[in-house]
Amino acid sequence: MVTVENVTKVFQIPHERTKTLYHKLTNLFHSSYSYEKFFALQDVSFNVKKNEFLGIIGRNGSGKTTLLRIIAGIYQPTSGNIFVKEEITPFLEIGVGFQGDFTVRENIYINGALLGFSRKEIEKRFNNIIEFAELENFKDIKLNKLSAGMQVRLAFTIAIQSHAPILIVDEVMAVGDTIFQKKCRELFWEYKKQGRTVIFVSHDLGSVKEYCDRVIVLHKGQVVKDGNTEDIIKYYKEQILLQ
Amino acid sequence: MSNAAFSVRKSYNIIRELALADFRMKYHDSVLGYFWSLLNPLLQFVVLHFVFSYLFVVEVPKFTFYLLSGIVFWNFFHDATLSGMNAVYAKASISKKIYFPRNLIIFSSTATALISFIINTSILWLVVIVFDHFSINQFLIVIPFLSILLLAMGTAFLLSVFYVYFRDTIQIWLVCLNVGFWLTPIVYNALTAPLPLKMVALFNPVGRILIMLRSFLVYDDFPSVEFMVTTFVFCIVFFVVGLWLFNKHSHKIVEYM
Repeated sequence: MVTVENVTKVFQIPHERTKTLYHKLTNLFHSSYSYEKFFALQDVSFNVKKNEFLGIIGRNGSGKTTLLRIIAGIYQPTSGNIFVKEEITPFLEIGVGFQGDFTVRENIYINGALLGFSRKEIEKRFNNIIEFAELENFKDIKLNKLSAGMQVRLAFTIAIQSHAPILIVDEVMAVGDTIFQKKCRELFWEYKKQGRTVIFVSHDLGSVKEYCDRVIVLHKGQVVKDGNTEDIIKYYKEQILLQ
Repeated sequence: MSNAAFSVRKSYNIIRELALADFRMKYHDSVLGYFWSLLNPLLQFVVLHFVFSYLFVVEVPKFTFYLLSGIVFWNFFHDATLSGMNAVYAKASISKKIYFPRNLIIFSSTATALISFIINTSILWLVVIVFDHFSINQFLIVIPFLSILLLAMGTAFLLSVFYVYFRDTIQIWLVCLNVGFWLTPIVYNALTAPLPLKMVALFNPVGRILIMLRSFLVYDDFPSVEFMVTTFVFCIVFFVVGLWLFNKHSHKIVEYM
């Protein structure tokens, strides 16, 4: 379903931030433009099979989010290839395509359109979304006035409307109360039953253990381990977390 | 990549939802609401009309309609180019989370500006019909209308590419717009202007579009076919080049934000 082939992503971190034309021009005469190369991902290869629930774990800054963004088509790899056979719905860093100064209603319509729904289809789902996210009294409130928990609930509810066969889930459990987490749990089991392909990123090793058929460990931008869930989590605890 | 079938229908839905939400947001919190977008060009018109009818008299036949049409079209160009450039930044919260063709950002911000433009142009036309004349030729204003639409989008695409690399593009462009207002025959007649100004005004695509517009709308005559064709073709080419460059750089737009 998803094949990642020798993907490398390099970010250039300038020593001096030159963002304006004025700076660029003056820098032409003074010092040369210098930057450091930061390898966010180095030669990453793996594939995700159909119906697989794949976990990706790694410490902060290990390149998980960059990898997900590349799979979702938001970033382009510096080198290497990505092949995605089916439609993907990303649910990255506790959010979908939200804009804070739009109302809840507008954000639902925009994200519905981004997921490929027509206006009628969104209208049909609108009340369900509001109900599931428990936002009955906040339909026409600007999104950035909602609490973080409310925003996550809304984002989650919108993302699960999608019928895309591949789902990317990044750190959903981190925010949200027990009731919300229970909803997530039920949903993930439902996905497993339906045989959907899910790429799951979490720091919560408990839930990784619960859902994932296979786990990959990212460390400093490289895949250091790829295999069955129990072994990998054991390895991760012993080798990476205790370092 | 996950470009999996971005159908025209899906793109259209995204443009519509973004444009409508932007339009609502722009006028939602103000008392006068949408009337602001009418009031603004109207006040501009009143001031310029006063200055150039009483203080420095310009010899332009039917000056009232001449000036009003110039302001309506110029304001669209002004708003569409500026908001297009802003949108790339303002929509980063969305484009960092989910993939969609990045050029839809510019299409939707132009669509927002287009809503006001259509209303203002209709009012302009109505004013001409009520206070001056009606002619079947006035339907030809669709040519300058489309021309300025293409030109504004092409410009917004180019500016957005610059904006990713140079954050002061907005300031520079604001200055350009200020100067451009006076280098475009909005308050004076291009054909009777002093030679250097005349050349600039005639080579300026917005100026050429305005000449077409006023021929059809105000003076009921035709510029030469050659003049119309070159202007329209220029706008199409400009749009295509802008879109092409934007698409070429579009993946960087998200990464640099």
